[in-house]
Amino acid sequence: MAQIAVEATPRVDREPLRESLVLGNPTLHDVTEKIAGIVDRPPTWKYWLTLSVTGLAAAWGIFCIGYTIATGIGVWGLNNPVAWGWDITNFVWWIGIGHAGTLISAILHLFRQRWRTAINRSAEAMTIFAVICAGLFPLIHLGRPWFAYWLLPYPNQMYMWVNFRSPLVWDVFAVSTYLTVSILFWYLGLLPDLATVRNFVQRRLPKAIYSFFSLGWVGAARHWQHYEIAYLILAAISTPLVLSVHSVVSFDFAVSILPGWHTTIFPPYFVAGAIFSGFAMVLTLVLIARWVLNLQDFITLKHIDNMNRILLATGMMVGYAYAMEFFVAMYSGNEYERYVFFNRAFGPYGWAYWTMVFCNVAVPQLFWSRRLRRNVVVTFIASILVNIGMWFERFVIIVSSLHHDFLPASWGYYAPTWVEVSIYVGTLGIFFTLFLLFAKYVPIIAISEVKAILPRSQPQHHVPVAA
Amino acid sequence: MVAKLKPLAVMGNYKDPDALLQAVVEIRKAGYRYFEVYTPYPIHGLEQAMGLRRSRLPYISLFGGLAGLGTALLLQWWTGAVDYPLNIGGKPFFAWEFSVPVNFELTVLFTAFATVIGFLWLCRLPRWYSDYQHDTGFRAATDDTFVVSIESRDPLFSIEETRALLERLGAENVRLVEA
Amino acid sequence: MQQHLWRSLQDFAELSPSDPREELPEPLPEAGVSRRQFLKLASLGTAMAAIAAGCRRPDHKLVPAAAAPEYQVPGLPLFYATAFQHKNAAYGLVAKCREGRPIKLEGNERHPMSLGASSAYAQALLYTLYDPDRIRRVRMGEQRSAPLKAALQAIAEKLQQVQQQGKLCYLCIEEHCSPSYDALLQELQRRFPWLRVVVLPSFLADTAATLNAEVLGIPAEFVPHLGRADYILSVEADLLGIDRYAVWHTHNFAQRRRMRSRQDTMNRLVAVEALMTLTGTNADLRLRMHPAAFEGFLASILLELARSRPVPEPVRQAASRIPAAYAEKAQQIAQELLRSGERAVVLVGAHLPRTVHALALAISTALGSVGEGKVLDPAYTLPNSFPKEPELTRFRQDLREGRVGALFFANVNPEYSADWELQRLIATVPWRIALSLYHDETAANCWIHIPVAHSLESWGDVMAADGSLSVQQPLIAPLNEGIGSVQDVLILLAQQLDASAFAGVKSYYDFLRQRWQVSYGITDVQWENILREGVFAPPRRSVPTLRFSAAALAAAISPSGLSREGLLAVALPAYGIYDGSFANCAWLQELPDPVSKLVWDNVAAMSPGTAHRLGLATEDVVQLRIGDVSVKLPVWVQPGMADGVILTQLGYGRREGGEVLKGVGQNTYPLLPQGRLSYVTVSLEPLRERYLLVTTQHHARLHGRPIVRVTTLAEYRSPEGPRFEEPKFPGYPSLDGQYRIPLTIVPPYEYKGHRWGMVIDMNACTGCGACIIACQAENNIPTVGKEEVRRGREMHWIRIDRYYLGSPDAPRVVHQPMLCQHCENAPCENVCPVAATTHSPEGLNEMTYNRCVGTRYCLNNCPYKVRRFNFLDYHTDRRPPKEMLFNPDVTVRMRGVMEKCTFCVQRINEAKYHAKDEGRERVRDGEVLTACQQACPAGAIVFGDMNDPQSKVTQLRQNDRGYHVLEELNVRPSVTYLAKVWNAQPEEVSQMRTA
Repeated sequence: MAQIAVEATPRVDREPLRESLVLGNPTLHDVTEKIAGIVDRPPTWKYWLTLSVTGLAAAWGIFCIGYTIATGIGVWGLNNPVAWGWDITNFVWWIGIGHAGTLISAILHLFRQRWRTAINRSAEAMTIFAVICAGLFPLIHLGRPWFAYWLLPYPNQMYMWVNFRSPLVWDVFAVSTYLTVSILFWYLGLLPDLATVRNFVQRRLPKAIYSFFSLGWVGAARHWQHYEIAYLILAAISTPLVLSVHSVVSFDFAVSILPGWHTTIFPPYFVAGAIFSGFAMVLTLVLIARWVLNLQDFITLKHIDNMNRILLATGMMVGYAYAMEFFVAMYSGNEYERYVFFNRAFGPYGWAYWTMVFCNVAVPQLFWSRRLRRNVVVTFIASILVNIGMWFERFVIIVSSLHHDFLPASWGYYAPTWVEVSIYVGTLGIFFTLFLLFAKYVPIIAISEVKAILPRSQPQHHVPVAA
Repeated sequence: MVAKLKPLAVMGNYKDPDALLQAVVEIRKAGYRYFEVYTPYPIHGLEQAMGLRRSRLPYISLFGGLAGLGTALLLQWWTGAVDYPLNIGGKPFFAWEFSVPVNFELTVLFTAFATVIGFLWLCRLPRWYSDYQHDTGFRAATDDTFVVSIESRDPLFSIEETRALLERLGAENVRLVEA
Repeated sequence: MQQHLWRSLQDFAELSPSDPREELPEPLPEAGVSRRQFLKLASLGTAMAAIAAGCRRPDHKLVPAAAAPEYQVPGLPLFYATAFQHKNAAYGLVAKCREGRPIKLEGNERHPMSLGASSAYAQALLYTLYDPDRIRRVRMGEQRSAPLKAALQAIAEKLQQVQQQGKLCYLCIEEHCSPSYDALLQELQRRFPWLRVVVLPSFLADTAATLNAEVLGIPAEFVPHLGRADYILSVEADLLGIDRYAVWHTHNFAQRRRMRSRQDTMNRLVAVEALMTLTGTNADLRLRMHPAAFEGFLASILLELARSRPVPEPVRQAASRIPAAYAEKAQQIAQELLRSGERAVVLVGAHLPRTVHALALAISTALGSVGEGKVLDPAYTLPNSFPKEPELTRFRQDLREGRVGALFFANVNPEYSADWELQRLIATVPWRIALSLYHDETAANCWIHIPVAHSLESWGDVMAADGSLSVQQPLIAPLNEGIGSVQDVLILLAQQLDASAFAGVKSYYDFLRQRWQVSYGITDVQWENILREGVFAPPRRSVPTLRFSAAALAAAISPSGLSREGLLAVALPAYGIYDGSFANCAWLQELPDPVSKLVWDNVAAMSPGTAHRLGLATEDVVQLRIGDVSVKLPVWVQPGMADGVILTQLGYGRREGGEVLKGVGQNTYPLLPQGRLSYVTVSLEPLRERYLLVTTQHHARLHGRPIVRVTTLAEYRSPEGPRFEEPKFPGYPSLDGQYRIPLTIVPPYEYKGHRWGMVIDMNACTGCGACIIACQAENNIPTVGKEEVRRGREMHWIRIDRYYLGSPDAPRVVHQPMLCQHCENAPCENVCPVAATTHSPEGLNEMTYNRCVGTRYCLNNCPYKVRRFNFLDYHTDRRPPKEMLFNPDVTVRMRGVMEKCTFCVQRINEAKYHAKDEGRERVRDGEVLTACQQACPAGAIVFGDMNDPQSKVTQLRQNDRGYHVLEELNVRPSVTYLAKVWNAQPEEVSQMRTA
């Protein structure tokens, strides 16, 4: 039957109708050269500059973490009504950022969105690093961090188990699962490319290292067969996972009794927010990578355009959520709820609230215009603003609900100390350091996938790839 | 040392996916069973052309998922309701409602592990040594070439005929790989 | 092996004393014991020691029998009766001792003025006992640690010189109420004619006593018996606050307000004040009035009462000075007073001018509330409250004329509290000797400082206002290297001066014992009894007969001279550290002022109006100036105060005498003219500075939330009942805790056996704060210091929320004690990931410290925000003997751990152990008292078993004033609050609904 097929369809040589996802019409070898080459070539001055800055930030943050653990959480600004502040805000923020990674590689893969190939690798890496930064906070925010392992259900001399009613335990399971699965997914996708690099590099040490990690991948058709299934399954389970993780994170609040936290809208609201902030961060990152590593041919304006569309969509979702929260509070007739939301917008933390609204609802509206969607500078600034806005969203939810709750006599105010700020900056440093290392030593773009979508890279007598 | 080199396979390179596909069809027609194709990226329709069976991986994953779910339920029910029941907030010692998140997470986790381990097992990976790894033409398979190799353990294998077949099927740089 | 180790004494004797196994501490239960049983055991505290009493025997045996304290069983507490004199007010105490050291003080139920309750001061006594800043060794000149003997010899020599020079030696003593101390002093003066004793109070407040002397012939201050009063008109008389007998007053006052049923009567308290006193905040009607108007107001009341009868002219004149605004009120109140007749009384603040006192006395006499068995009863007078001024003037005179050669300061600190003139005079005296606990300002300026023993370390006796006597038993050997009390030292000194003095008296104890034998004929057997009981009512002392002199009264009435022009300032003792003698007690420094909730500072409090007029705001720094002295103070805007008046507190701004008191607040004693409590006209000058003030409560408004329920007596009695603002929520529960619609999908947890609960009567609670310190003492709660309180990290397990209802100018005030509500559906428990906080089978919300990892999620999820987190290590001051202050039955929490009210679980367990020991199934009602309940003078807190239908708690929960705070959340608290009832006219409480 293959024979018939061969007879049936004459070979066609034509450019794809739609805009190409890879510019410069490179050959398969060009792709290898271009991407594996990054790994082989010595780093540029741009690279060292950025790396030293982020490395410094990371070091400072780690020092402050040490200081906190040695002295006690008291070095932060937390107090009686407000027992969570920047720590959990950063935790939720980082987790949220992680989500776009999984989303881009998993969901877009399921939907056969081929434009993902340019960014999915860096997006997945971002997920992993973001989740690492996120996971840091629940650990160090403990009063006795050296007992953090008590949150795991393991047999111990106290005959004690964890309390499975507590959302924090759900968090432990969700976040650790998320991290593990993301790493597996990422590594699986890397296998063929690592093999490519293995065969590309000449120097002995790198060769040895890449051979080790490529696990002896040779690209045999039988392997590809299993590989594609495995990749599909991981994509399929990652998709609900990414939705579940932020839902679980939102349970930390939704399950509580606090007005402003105890809200059923939280799970979808948090997920939308996560995608929103995640895509913003991906944009920030790939735009930097694009500049530092000259990847204009692979990360094209079309990619940027697509991601901006998603920003616009998710931005409007969170906007809807903000409005709905107020409506529900008003409609509930619950005086505590009403007060909290009024206080959120017009109380001591009103400034934070309006910053959030501006960054998350107003700014994305720019992207109704195609011109702005394809303007790199505008996109970059917007993506930063969205990151800021989403950070404030979490801050507003956590702090403004806590500082004025039920009994006016117990109300208070919270302001962070330099230590908290430093630790936050530190995690940014850790994140970008890890990302830069990744960008240099791991193929930043999925070589095999890009190759697979090049024009005429697939047999033409099957459904033409680009038509 | 001077050891008699043992023939492993006859290899030929292709640059064009369609030619490759046709060649594979022909090779199967010729009755070869032990042959393999090495490509830098998955080629659509190759496995049909080679006549491979569907992968068994999904069953392994399913098993993993069920194992995860079971573990989660057992863990939460036994620790909470059997081993050390505590009155916490007047809530029941175990209830399916609050067990859902952990159930889900463990299901996913176990599925993922089963999938990856299953994949490695089915591919017999990791294997850090390949008989062909010194063959430059073969190494190009991770770059821009499709390599067809017909192995010597195939009953029909004969250095000359196989070589001829591949050349007839338009393979470049047809060669015998020995070790 | 273990089992038979302790089976019986015989087995036990077989073990050779050298057997190392004896020394082994009792091993923990084997791992076979389930975690739960182990937790139970471990948490049993004292009970554990007792259960394992046998096992403990070897430990016991290791204590040399000779030194073993009598009846002492390690792990079991012993209780000793002793006494506490708060200046010249006496309270009976019971001290709980463990392993030979006092760990907790409670009021003695048998004592007529304590009635089982205690004040924050009494509680703090323990802190001062173990205060590491107490001095241990005698200082002589530059010599840091001199032997007492040497010091006494040196003093004796100098005194002989003084005597030869024909000069005098003055002994300055504090206000006290110890008859034997008086006797000792008399004896000393008799033997050494050149020795004079003068009572040197830190502030002078003898106006009332002087007046009583002139008008009634009683040279003493009345201690009003509020239990006998139906109607109390208080003119800035802070009886429930800084009054020395506040505990007794609070008890009597609350007694009349507990409202067990709608038929109960209650007293009416009307407060007329310019300041915002604690008493004022508890008033049924509070009239905000400038001090200058007081005399006019009282005078017109007097006129109203007098009707046609002739009234001395000065009264008419005074009455004419009443501001029109108050005329009507004066008449109304006069009518009300008349209605209550002899059961009504007018009380006046000690700092108010003589005229006001005179008018008040006139009214009370007119009403007939002065006399035996009345509110103002000559049988209830403050001991040693005689007019002090004459003595002091003589003292100053002698100093001025250089007739004084030597000065002793016995527990007085004039260098800090006296006016600058007296200080200058004192400085001229060549030989000054200080006898005191701390190396305070005075001691620092003395030639010799002898660190005397603490009152809990020494013998003594005290006389209460009703004349009953108590013995002050020492509970522990003096920690200051064995130096005795002031009295002991004086005796030693006397014997040094004259070998024949005090023959056969080795110590003050002998003197005391002999005197009791002589004056009261106490035999050894009776003595034993008195020590056990703690109280002794002597053959009724002769009650002085009243010799009323209208003339003297009329003469006392003259224009007070207080003017509405300018600013009037008054400095009163602080609620926390009183006159500064408690300044080194961190507990009291961190006890929030019951009205302003300020900690660790004193302020210039003024009304919002005044602040606005002067363009000042809270935390601005101002300078108050009288004549050439001035005081810098931060401004505090205090709702409810009258315009043009400034209130500040004494006791702050100490320089010497400990680590705690350093740099806390400002010394305001310079504002007292000649050291007398009184209003003075000051000039205020704003400085371009700001000063950080720290409170424990930032919001005082209720925002219309049904957290506090209030009603008026009339409303409460009306057939349709009180109109409490109920929460606007579905399924809102009725008072019996039965919910109108089911709010849960799971069956409620079954509480067999005990189920602990609490009822807090907000109508009885006056917000005094004794419970806070009692709790702190019982539960090893640390103090955190001003900076940490600013961050909102105070650790008090029970706090008192103070809400202002109505206008900020004249608000109504409600005090609401807030502690862990031990919710049945505790939100904190659900969210703890490590199950560190769980519910006990007896309904306690338990906190397992050593399991806590410190996520603080429980705190976030606590609707009452009563959980406390150790953000830092708050037990940093580990200087000995501070560690002896800790209650051995309560864990000391480490950094990073959550803590909160436990309903004094250690006491519950102790009681359960006793029950078990006596073969009882259950603990009797009232057998367990929580620390806050036991201390509360108002008896506002009742704790007990809700499963016991007979228990007091169960009864009170049925009271129709009962409600749960935030019950609409369906967390089902175990604490029931009883709504506040004001004995006021509807129009008087019109604003209260607009909370």
